[in-house]
Amino acid sequence: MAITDLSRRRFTQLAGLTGAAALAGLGLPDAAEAAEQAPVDPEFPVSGRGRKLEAAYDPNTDEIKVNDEVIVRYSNCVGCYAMCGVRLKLDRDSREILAQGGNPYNPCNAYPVLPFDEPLTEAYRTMTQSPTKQTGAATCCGRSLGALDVYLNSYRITTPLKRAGKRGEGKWEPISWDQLIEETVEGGKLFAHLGEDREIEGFRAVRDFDTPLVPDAPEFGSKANGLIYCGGRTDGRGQTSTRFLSMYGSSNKYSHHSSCYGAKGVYPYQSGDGDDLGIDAENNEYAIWMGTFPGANGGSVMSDLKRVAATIENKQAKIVVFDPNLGNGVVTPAQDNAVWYPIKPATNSALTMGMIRWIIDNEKYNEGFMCAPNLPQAIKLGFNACTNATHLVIVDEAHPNYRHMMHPEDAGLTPSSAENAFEDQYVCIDAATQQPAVSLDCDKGLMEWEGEVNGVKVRTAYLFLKDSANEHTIEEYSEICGVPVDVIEEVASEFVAHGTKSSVNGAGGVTSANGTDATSCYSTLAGLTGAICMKGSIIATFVGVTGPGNGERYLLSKAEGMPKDKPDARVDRTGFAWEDTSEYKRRTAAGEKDPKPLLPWYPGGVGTSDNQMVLSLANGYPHKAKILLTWQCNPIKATPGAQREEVMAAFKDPDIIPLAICSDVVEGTFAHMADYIVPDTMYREHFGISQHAAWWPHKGNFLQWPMVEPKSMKLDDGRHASFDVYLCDVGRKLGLPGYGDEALLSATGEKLPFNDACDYYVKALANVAYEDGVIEDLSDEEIRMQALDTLPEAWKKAVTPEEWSKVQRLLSRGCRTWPEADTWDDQGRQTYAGAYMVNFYSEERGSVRNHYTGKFYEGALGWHAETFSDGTPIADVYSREEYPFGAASHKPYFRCVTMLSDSALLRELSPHNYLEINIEDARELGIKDGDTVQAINPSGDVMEGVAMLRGGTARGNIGISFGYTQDAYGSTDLTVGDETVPGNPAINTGVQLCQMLDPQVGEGAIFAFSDPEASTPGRNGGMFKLVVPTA
Amino acid sequence: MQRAETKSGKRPFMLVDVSLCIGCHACVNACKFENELEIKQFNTWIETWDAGEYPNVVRANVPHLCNHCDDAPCLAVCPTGATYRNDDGLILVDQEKCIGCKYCMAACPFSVRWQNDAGEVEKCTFCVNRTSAGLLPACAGNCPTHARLFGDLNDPNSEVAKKVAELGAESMLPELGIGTNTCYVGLAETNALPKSSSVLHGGRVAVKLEEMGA
Amino acid sequence: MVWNELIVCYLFLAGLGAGSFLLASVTGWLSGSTKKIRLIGSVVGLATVAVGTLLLMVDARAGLGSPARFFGLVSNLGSPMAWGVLCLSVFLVIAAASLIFQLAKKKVPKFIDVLGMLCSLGVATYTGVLLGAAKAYPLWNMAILPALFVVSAALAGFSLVSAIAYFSARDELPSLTFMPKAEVVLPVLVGVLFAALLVATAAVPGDSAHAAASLSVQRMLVGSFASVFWIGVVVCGIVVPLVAGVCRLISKRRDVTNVGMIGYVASCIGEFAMRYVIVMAAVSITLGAAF
Repeated sequence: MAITDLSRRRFTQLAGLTGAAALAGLGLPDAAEAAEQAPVDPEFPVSGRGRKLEAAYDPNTDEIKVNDEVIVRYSNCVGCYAMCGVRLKLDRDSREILAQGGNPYNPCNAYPVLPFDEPLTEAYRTMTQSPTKQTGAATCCGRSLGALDVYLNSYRITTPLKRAGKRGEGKWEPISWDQLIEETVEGGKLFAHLGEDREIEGFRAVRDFDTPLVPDAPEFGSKANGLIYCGGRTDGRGQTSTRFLSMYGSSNKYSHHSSCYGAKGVYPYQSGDGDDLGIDAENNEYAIWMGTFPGANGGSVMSDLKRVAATIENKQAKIVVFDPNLGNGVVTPAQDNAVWYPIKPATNSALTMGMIRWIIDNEKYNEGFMCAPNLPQAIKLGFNACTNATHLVIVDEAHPNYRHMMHPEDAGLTPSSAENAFEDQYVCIDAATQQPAVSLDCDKGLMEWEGEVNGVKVRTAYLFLKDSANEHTIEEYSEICGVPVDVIEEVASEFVAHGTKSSVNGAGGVTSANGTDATSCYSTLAGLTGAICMKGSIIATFVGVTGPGNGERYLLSKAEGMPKDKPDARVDRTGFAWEDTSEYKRRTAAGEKDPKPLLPWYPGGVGTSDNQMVLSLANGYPHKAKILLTWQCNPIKATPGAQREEVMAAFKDPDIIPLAICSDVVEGTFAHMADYIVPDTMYREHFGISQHAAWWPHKGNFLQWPMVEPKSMKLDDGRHASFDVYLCDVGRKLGLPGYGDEALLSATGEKLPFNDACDYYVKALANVAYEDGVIEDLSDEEIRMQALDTLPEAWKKAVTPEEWSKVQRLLSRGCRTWPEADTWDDQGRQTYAGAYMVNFYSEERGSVRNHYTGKFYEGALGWHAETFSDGTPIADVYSREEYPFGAASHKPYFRCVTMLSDSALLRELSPHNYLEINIEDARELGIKDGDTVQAINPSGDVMEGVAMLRGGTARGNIGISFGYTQDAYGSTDLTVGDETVPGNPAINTGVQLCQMLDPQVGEGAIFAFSDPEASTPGRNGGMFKLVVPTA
Repeated sequence: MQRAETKSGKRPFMLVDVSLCIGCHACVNACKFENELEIKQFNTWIETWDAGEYPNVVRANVPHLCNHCDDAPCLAVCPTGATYRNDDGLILVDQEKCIGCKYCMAACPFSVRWQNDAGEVEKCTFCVNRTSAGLLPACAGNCPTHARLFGDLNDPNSEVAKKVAELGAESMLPELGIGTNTCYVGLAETNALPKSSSVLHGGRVAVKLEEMGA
Repeated sequence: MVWNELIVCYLFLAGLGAGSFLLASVTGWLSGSTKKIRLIGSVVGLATVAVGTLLLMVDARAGLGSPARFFGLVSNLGSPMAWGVLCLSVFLVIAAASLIFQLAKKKVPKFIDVLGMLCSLGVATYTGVLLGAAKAYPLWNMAILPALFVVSAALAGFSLVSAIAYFSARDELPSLTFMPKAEVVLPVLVGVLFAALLVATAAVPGDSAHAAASLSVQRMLVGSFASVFWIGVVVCGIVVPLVAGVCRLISKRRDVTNVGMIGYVASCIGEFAMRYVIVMAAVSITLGAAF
């Protein structure tokens, strides 16, 4: 906390009077009152404690009077990854940060949202007691303010550092910016002065398109792919790294993806051009939150929270939350409409199958919706999505397309010429004619049909779901997940009763070893009733305009000479089949029968996997890196089970990673193990633009921008050091396309320079300002209110004068939103939704074999217990009697995933986390509140912590607040040159969730157990026993 | 509500709806920044616990802050008159007169007072600077669910007056009958539920499960 | 806990001093030679209360930093502390005056003795009233505490003066004719009043108050303050002085003996221990609220 001089708060003018009055001993209250009311600035009085006021409000006239000495700016928060807005209150002269709060224009901070066109005085009004304010005070959360504490008070790296000892020793020498660029680009014997003789290849040497990265394995592409990059949640800055990696020519680009919820949305539906689905909490009547807690989740916390809290309070909606942990969210006392049901970790799909079983047995699904064989037909029926319930799946083992969907060609039918929102065409049985038909040309199909079409054995996709549901009784499902039968039935019946005003979704609950099923739960349920992309149901999110891409004013994703070749396989082993690898072919050619890889391969469509990249490099398989470039991330910590000695040793091993560069502001895990640290800007200091990430049905973009001058090193040319500037300078030095003086294209064909983040992002802002309606200029009055006329010249020069004033308007609101009335059509369809088709049977899933067993995966949602990579249930390898617990993590308000342990404010509120144990489980084991206990997994990892007994933890669950402990990050000594910043062990206190290793993978491999289909970590679930240490 | 008159005729009032508080600590931290408080100095804090018997459990979060009582025990016992009541009825401390005897801290049944580095006693002031200029205090101005509402109870158009008219207002420790100006909605109902976890301040165990209640 | 060991020491010294000076003042009504005893009582009274008052000022850190603020201490006569300041001030003046008379070998005027008794009772009582007025701590019972403090102050003060007199004014001891009875009655009263305090506390109604009250009593009887309570308050503060007092009362000559001396030392330890547990073991209604 900033230590302020106490004397500053004295009533200096009246001290003498007060002293005399004190001596007299009489009339003190009046004199003190007079002191209270005789302020330094009569217009905006501030006396005693309290910062300068941003405005004053007169209740008699309902007028706002803005204080000229204070400016209020709006941007976005990156205190966690919910991408909420933020408001900074600054002293106009000193630019000291006086306060932080929310952005009323941003749907994450306000509900109702202040419309984009409302003047700034209306934003001020929300901070007053005025009864005419359009929305309540716009807020950020406590964690956001913890991030402010970090920003103001914690140690920060602001200059380039080169390691002066071994990796992980915490010894650094400060170097110049030029030396940083020179050495990382050109390489050489960079550490000869430390006695290291290795010749290190820099960016230039690695960017070699002629040499293969892995000899005799062309699937991995050229050597340029040896540049392996990992970033964290970029929150709108993603293009900074994406552009560089594309122009450089490496496809090994990873970010906060599958380690979080990479399984999400992959298999369960196809979408023509849509993205993630979320809950429409503004309009729903009933919602099932499964594995994510409104008000305490990893997603759009604040936006969910406000809408759910409001609709519970006004009784519009009732919600149920299934979660192994009762989080700090909306399930509170003295309200009837939100209830928590404990559930065992990693059993969401059992719960869902129980519900589906009830719905099917009682025929409560919407048959009309499900029988619509194509999207236009479903729309005609009043819906906004369709399913493949009626589509035929080939079950003929002899057929080359076995376990794929039947296409017209397979059925001997002519493909339809009708417009198709999806890539392929399918076949169904026409309900009217009882004959096979191309689904696009059919009005109604049959849901339950199996037989032969054109000599090919087929059955409808719906039957796969039905059969899957019938594998167990509802009582069995209940036993598995721990949710009582009557609850399963009641929730199922409520869900269907509210039709398209029912929502269901989740987030963190899909990161489990059976996460692929978990993620399929939501759309499958919604697919039974049509509750998709309708008002009140699950809705498409991330709806906004492009911004940093090819937009109206600038074509920011194009550059002449961009490398085109992309390798088929990447180091993360996803998106490519084991059987297609050169290794497999070589080994089979050598006579090996059914060779197995060291680590699993994931041919499924998960995208990229940061956690698998970590495990790959930890084992040096399928190949090693040439350069590891990381940016404000920690996928090791984010992969439970990966934080162990062997993994850390691998990352410190120059044989696996010859050159490690990390851009960050704190010496986190990756910086700690790097050769070079590139100082970056922190949020409040940098640009970023993205579509809105809230579970919010409307259209909007949010933006980050430097509201204050960056504190990172100022270079000679006036730019502030940042990852953006580093990549610009490296790009320029390498002569990469898309960097240098003619890097950025305008829509009119001009080629413009790219030297700093502003060159790129201010242009991206111009794109946002002009797309889907051009916004107005910002008035001079409002420019002055936020001191937007004092912004750096470089920003203004990045765009045309006409564009600049509109960019200023965007900056002044911190986001852009489109009118909410445009979101729904007159039948309640979400106009922004892309085309969605729920896959009751997913051919992407069902046509993939597990390369250990040769067995195909199921194509439909079903209950499958957690397995290891080879499909063996974990409970078959280790004993559930011995290891009866599973674990589930949850998000606290006092840390964030991999950051914020360096906030003294947050540490005071929460010095460490606990092992949260159900109160009845604990009593059975003789564990008392506050005891030191150990949770031990079958690999022998011990998590020792303090027990907290809770009624708010499910039986059989160990709850752990995620984000505590750090292996560096200020907890260890940091030596820069001669100066040592002593480590603060308080930063490392607590318990880190540690999942077991997968014993079924290759000999000697270190592999944290993961979902065999989607590659996502087995974060929730696993097996543990609880032990009270005797020593 | 029958209340004694304040000199100005206004009654600054905070209404906390416990069913809306989720324990996010935006209020606690916003207050810290607004008042430049240091470690161990809290004008407001939140107590959190699991309420109800498993599996019918809810998460209780109860914010604590100065109640600016009509019949303030701190005001009664302050020997130097450093603690005083202003025209709006707020209980404030004139730091210049405080000798740090801590009698007020012992007298306050809500334990909301604390000692600063110089030894003077301080507490929440309802952000008197902000609120007397018509603004919201830092805490209510940062509450994501609007669990905290602030305004003039005597003004029928204010948010607080409207909500109190609809849902009533309970004091913490109502048996003391000291006329608090911080009131709650849902507090008695919350306290009536059995506790099934320790009581946390933020994320830190403050009262262990075994230590609680007779 | 709001207050700490510094305040406990003050309460101990104030009680000791009040009791000592009470004895000194009472000698004004006794026949027989008591000059030395009076002197002892006056010196001890003045010294301990003066030191105690200094401790109070040290504890009030803000005042210590800006001493002019202490002048404001009697602004709010609704506050028991303001009254306490008055009592202490008048006590110091009266004790000094009495001492001046004695050192000048003059007879101390009766009105000084009367005032002296009143001040002593005031100093011993007001602390109980002060704590009792702090409603946040159910242990500090307004009805019982003042009486308990007076009685225990008398016991300790009388004991200390008698102990010093045993060495330097043994011949005057028999003049304190009421003392043998007092040495039995006082410990009994302390015991009864303390027991009443515990019972009253345990019976406090109201959810929060009851929880805090029970916890306070529990801490003393079986919890973290149990040793101080049982050994300090009960054994040293009640049992040993009572036994010593009974021994003296039933003895033929009712002299102060070695046993009596043990009883005197124990009383002083007991008085400290009692102030200690009452201040430190008290739990506030808000339970774990303090940071």
